[in-house]
Amino acid sequence: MEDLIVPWLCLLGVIIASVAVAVITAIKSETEG
Amino acid sequence: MLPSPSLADTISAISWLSALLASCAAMGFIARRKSETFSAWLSGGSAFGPVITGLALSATWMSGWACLGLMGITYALGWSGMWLAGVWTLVGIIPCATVFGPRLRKKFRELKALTVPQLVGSLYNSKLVAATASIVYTVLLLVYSVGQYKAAATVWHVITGTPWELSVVIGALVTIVYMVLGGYTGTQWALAIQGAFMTVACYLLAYMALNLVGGPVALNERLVLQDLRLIAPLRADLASKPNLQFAADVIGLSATLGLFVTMAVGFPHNVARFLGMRPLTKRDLALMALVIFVSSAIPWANIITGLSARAMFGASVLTASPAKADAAAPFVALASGPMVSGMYLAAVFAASLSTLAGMVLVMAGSLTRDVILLLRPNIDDKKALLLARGLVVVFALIPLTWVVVRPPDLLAYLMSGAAVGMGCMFFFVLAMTLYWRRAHKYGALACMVYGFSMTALGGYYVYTINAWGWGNWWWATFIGCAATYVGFSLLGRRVEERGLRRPSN
Repeated sequence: MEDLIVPWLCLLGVIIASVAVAVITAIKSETEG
Repeated sequence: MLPSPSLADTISAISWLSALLASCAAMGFIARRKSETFSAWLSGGSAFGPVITGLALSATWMSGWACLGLMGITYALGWSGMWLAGVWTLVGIIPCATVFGPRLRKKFRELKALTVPQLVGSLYNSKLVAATASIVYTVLLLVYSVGQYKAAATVWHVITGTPWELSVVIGALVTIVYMVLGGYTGTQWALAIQGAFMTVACYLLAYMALNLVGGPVALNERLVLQDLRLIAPLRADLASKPNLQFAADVIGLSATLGLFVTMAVGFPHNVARFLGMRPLTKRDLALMALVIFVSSAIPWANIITGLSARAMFGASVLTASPAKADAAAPFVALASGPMVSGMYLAAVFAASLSTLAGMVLVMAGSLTRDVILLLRPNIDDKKALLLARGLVVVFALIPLTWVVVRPPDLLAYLMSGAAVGMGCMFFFVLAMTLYWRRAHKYGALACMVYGFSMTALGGYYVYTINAWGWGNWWWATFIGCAATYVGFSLLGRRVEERGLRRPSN
């Protein structure tokens, strides 16, 4: 049963990492307006 | 048991595709007045806001492969295929938009560049770098665009059960029309429509697919019943197949992350989207990031679709169609009913034609601006516009010919490695140079020579004779590009500094 969840957890990890990248880069970016 | 195409699927496909192509063509006609001079045709009016820029960027980023071949990978390999199948999509494209995007926009303005290779050349103040970048881009984009037509052809053939030639030719002709008439502005609008369309269709298909297999838990239960290895995040058993290293070990896995980060900003058709962007406020930028987050995350949905196809159909797709694993998603679409199958078909066309249009515009504009006008500076504006429009037709039709007739061997090798090569080369030559002041034209030229050679070698040793590991090859290309770029830049600076010192001595 545990094995069945592992791939979903990997995908979830990447999704969380992507959210973090999006938030951090959007805050740190240089805008002109 | 695999579903078969019905008349309803064909009617739905024709209806959705006609609606999509008609709306894109309309954009070309609307934008034609804004594209009457060569520079306006090439770069638009710099008035695009965050939503249109975000959707257009997603459309060029998501190729035909992302909406078709990607499902084929997870279908064939199971969960371990997800690393190459676009799971890192946002880790690549979000920094491209939020970090590099505003800076690229600023550089396009500062250096008065109208094409991506011109921007590259201006960063080094070198026409040789601009011309070399233009030629490297043109060759790699030309071979990369073959895949776009192949994706459209495959989805048409599986979903309608009829020959693909007419549909793909019509798709190509409509694309040519809106590009020739509307130039950058028409293409950017058409890209936004295509981006929105494929986002809706791919999420819908994944939802239908997961419903058909009975939900997330049932998906993995059905995969395990076929083969326990299908749910493994990495498959050590694939270590014996070098070209599948991305699913087998950590070197391969880390290379997939690097691939998506470098491709996002290395693809000129992505970078060109910032050419027409207006200055963004923090709020605009957050909105653009949100739009991209939703529309460029479709590989996550597509991974699920591919896995669901495996759970539903077993390995039967591999032998049912000449497209092998690439037919997985079209079969899921057929199983979801005509409404979804037609919509998905149009989405693959949208993904393919949008990437193709982005690439053709770079090639035609750049070859005219950075090579032909460099050799013949006396050509007037009207002639330059006519020339660029003519090249659009040529660059859209050459890959179409190659889909039918086998291209020469060297081009076939470049085709497989084009994304890796372009990513690694221009990650340094363009993106890093925005930040590193000591970058020198020697570094840019050496990096392009090395990257181009590795692209061809990878096409042969990885994809053709299957002797090099895919991950090892990516890392060798990336590290080599970094070393040549940094090493020759420092050398170039030193030579320059010596040259400056000499007259005063």
